[in-house]
Parts: sequence; structure tokens; C-alpha cells
Amino acid sequence: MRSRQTIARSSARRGRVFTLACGSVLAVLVLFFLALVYGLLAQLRSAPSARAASSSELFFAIRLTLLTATVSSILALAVSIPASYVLSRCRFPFRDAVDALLYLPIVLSPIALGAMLLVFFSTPPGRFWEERVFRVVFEVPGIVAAQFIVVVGLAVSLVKSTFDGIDPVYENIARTLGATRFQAFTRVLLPIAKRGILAAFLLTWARAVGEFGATVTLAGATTMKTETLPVAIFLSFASADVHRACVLILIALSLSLGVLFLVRRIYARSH
Amino acid sequence: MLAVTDLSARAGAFTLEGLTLALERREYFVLVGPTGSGKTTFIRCLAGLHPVSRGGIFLGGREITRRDPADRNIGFLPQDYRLFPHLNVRGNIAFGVSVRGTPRGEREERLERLAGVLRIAHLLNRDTGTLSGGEMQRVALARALIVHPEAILLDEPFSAIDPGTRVRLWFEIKEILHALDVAVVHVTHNLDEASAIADRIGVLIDGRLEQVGARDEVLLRPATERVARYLGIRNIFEGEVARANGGKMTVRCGPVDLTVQGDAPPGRRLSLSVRPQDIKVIKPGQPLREDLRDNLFEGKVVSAYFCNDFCTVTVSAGAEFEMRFPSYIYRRHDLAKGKRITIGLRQSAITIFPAASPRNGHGPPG
Repeated sequence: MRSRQTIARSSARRGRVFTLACGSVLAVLVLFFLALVYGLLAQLRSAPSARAASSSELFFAIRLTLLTATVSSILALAVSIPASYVLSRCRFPFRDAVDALLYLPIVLSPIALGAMLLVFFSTPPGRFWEERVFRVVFEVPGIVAAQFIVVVGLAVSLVKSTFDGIDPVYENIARTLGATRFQAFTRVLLPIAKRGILAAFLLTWARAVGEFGATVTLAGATTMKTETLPVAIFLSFASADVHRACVLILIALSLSLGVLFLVRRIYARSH
Repeated sequence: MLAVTDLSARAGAFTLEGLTLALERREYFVLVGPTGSGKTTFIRCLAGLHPVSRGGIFLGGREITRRDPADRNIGFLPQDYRLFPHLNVRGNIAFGVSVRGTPRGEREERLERLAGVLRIAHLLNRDTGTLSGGEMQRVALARALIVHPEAILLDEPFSAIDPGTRVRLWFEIKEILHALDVAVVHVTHNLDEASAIADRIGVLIDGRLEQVGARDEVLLRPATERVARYLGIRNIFEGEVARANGGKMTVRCGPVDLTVQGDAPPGRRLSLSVRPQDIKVIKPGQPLREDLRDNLFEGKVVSAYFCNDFCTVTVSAGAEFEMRFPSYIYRRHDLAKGKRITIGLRQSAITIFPAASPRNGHGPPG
């Protein structure tokens, strides 16, 4: 019979082997990502081109992307805060169905969403909007609309999970102290949810910056008009300008890393 | 001051049924009951945070059953206090007067006064995350009291406080609330806490108020078998009246006959309970008090265990009797396991309730 000590030793060894195996998978994944970045940098060094970096097209694409992503994510947040409040705090019929519907843009292909928008703007109410309010299809507002529809589900789910994580007892106490529902919302729930909402905004914004499928379907890919960063990357590859594409990818990568860093800082502070 | 009539409410599969209660001004009422008995649902109904399906709630003579929590003037102290994490101590306390638009001068005056009464003036600029359990409790009390509520609801207010500090705070908090002229509904499952501070106690079991009465009345004379069981009394015997004579009756409870005060007809089924503190060890030859003479039993010590300075001993004497006394009694009588002893039940301390329909409390028969 094996002694108790031998059994304990062999079980500890098996535990170490398991951790090591999982760690190796993680290491391979990290190496894979680093290899991708290395490829990008190697490509940039091998074929330098002054034209790409100073191109006014490039700055146009960056400016347009930052502007549209900011507008669309502010709109998404403005919609998702009240929507998430109702979903998180109120009981009403078909609540789960409404909740599921709002997740649709997260799982549906962005091209399909863009195409649905395009189809909508060819219907009578859509045409009315185009003619009487402002033009959307193949215009800059089309980029905002495309980004909005893609990111709004993400914004709702992030804000809702922030609200869900806050015990309603805080609002209840506020109400027993004389606060109206609105005061409990603005003076208790929103301030407590501040960091979560900020993180939701940053993640939504980053997702909007990277939006391609719906944008290209609804707003098209017109140089110096509806050319966002992802569209510019696509166009550069399509015209075989790999160097320019790599510069654009590097910019997109830096933006994403910056946002992820900020989000992690926000979450770390709130815990 | 605060009155509840025939209050019913539903919470999922659970229901609160027909609660009726009236609190005097400055009364300190403690509601006890096992976990899941509906205590928190009840105070949520009072605060307006849970819908009432039937009955009424009245405060100072006006009905508030369907009023918004903001217009009830009832303070609420939740379990763990839940101070607003985004505000410091001052911001937390001033929240109520700030949302009500109280003028700044009055706001400051109320805040300073309460901070003085609750001795938290030195904490006003502190972050709530740095407070101890006791400090948090005072800040939460100040937050609830600053709007001058007519009644205050405390949900397990001492659960987040170290046991060492707790006992001192029981009396301090009661004194402070008494001085501030509010009626208090204090919910707890801690019987020691209830017996230390309550003016009156209510026992809520499975959504029904089984008994309401002065502190000693409830603790010494449970009205129903369910209350007796909740109070931890294990000496509950069911039996049938064998004979009754001149205000005394003998109830046959299986192998033992108990003599109790009362006058029920022979054949009536009854339940009897006696607190472990009311069973005494009888020394051979000891002169007996009148009260102990009728219920003497000889038996054997089955088990003994100690908790703090008290000892709980189980004696098998036909039925099993649980006794509790200070540890020195154990040593004095040398009550080791297996020892044969005589025990006596105090007749006046035996509580009687009908054996059937234990849900609704009735007085003792006769």
C-alpha cells in the first residue's frame, strides 16, 4: 500500500503538470499575438514610404474615425443608460424578450446590420428621412448610424451589467429619505455607476472605431468622404499598398491598446 | 403612532398574512423570527418598498398604505447599513435634507446636532470606506434621523458589529432613539438582543405574527408551540388531561404525568412547555417550595455541555428534560453523565397551549 505521503506528493505533481499545461497554452497565445505585431513592424521597416505617413488621406481617415466613433458612442450611451435602467430595475411583460432583442446587434454580422439599414432607407419612412431630415446613405451620418447600430447592444449590455451589480437598496434608502425616483437615479445610481459607465463608453468607442462591415455597406467606401480607419485599411490592401495599410493598422492598434489600458485602470480603481 | 391592521403581502411563493400591530410613541418594538419568516418583507412593506396586497398601515393617524416611500416619513436602516459609497460621511448624513431642499442653514444645524448626539462629529469628513462597523451604524442612523422620521425601521442593525462591542451598543442605541422621540421597529433573529432592548417583542413565524407582548411575557410564556420551539425550548410535551381538580389538572404526557394550573375537561389534548431554566435539581432532603412539589421526577444525566458560563444538561426521566443553569450548579451537584438525580419542574412556569391548530395563539384553557 502506498503511504499517505507518497499519494500527496503524486497528487501535487499532477496539479503542477496541469497548471504547466494550461500556462503553455497561454504562452503560445501571447507569442502568437506578439508574432502578429512583429510582422507588422518588420513590414514597416522593410519598405519605408514617406508618402503614406504624411498623406492627408490618412489624417482625414483618422479624424473622421475619431469624430464618428465619438458621436456614435455618445449616442449609444445616451440611449443605453435609460434603457438599461428600465431593464435592470423594472419588471414588465416580455422583459427577457426585449433584453434578448437588444443583444441582437452583438451577435448579428455587421454587414447584415448595414444592409438592413440600407434597406430601411429605401422604404417610405426611410426615404422621408433622407429627403426631409438629412441624408444618411453614402454620407458621413451613415457612418454614425452604422456604428451606432453595431455598438448600441454592447453599450446596453455593459451599462445594464453595471446597474445589475449595484444593489437597489441604495436607491430604496434614498427614496425613504425623501428622494423621488429621478433623484434616486441621478444622485445615487448614476454616481455609483460612474466608473462602469465610463468603461462602457470607452469599450463602445473602441468598438465603433473598429467598425467596418456596416459602415462600408451603408456609407460606402469613398476616399476623403466616408473613409474611416478600417475602410482605409481595406482600401489600402485592395490597391496593394501594404505599407500604408500597416501604418493604419499600427494606429488602430495603438488606439485599442490605449483604450484597454484605460478600461483596466478604471476597473482596478473601482475594486 | 405606527399601526398595522390585517396586513398581507406576497413575495414569490411566500405570504405575510393578516399582521396587526400598534406601536406607541417612543416604543422600542423588536420583531424576531427564524430566517425566512418574513421579517424583512414586513419592514419593507412599512417603508413602502414592497407592495401590500391587503390591510392598512397608519402613521400618526394618517393612512400611508399606498404612499410613496418618499412621503411616508419612516426611516429605514438596512442590514449592513449601505452607506452611499460615492459620498463621504457628511454627504451621507445630509442626503435626505439635501434632496428635500432644506435651507442650508437648517441643514447644517440638524447635521451638527445629530453628529453631537450620536458622537460622530469627528467623522464628518471621513470616507465611508474607512469606518468601523459601529461608526457606520451611527452614520446610517444619523442619515435616517436627519429628516425627522416619526418611526424608524432597523433591519438586523447589529449584525455587522463585533460581538464584544455589540452588547454596549444595544443600550446606547436604544437610549439615543428614545431621546429622539421615534417609534422603533427593530428586526433581528438574535433573541439575546431582543430580550436586552425590547419594550415589546413580536414573534413572526412563516409570515404570521404568532405572539406580541411585553418582553418577559413572550420569553417566559410563549403563546404557541411554534413560538416555544422558536425560543429554543425543547421541553415540549403533548398529552391528554387525565383529571382536573380545584384549579389544578394532571396531564398524561406519555410516560410522565405533569401537574399544571388550569381547569380543562378530562380528555382534552394539550401541549405543555417548560423553559430549561425552570427545571431545578433537587437535593435529597432539601425543603421544597410549593411550586416544585407536584412535578418531581427521578432520572439519569444523559448529556451535559457548556456554553459561556452556562451548562445545559439533559436528564432522562421517562421523558427527556433539558435543563440550563450556571456552571457552578453543575459542579455543586457533580452532574456527570450517568448520575441519577431528582429534578423538579416549577409548576407556575409551565406554559399550556392547545395541542391542535398550533398556528393561532390562544390563551391557556380554563
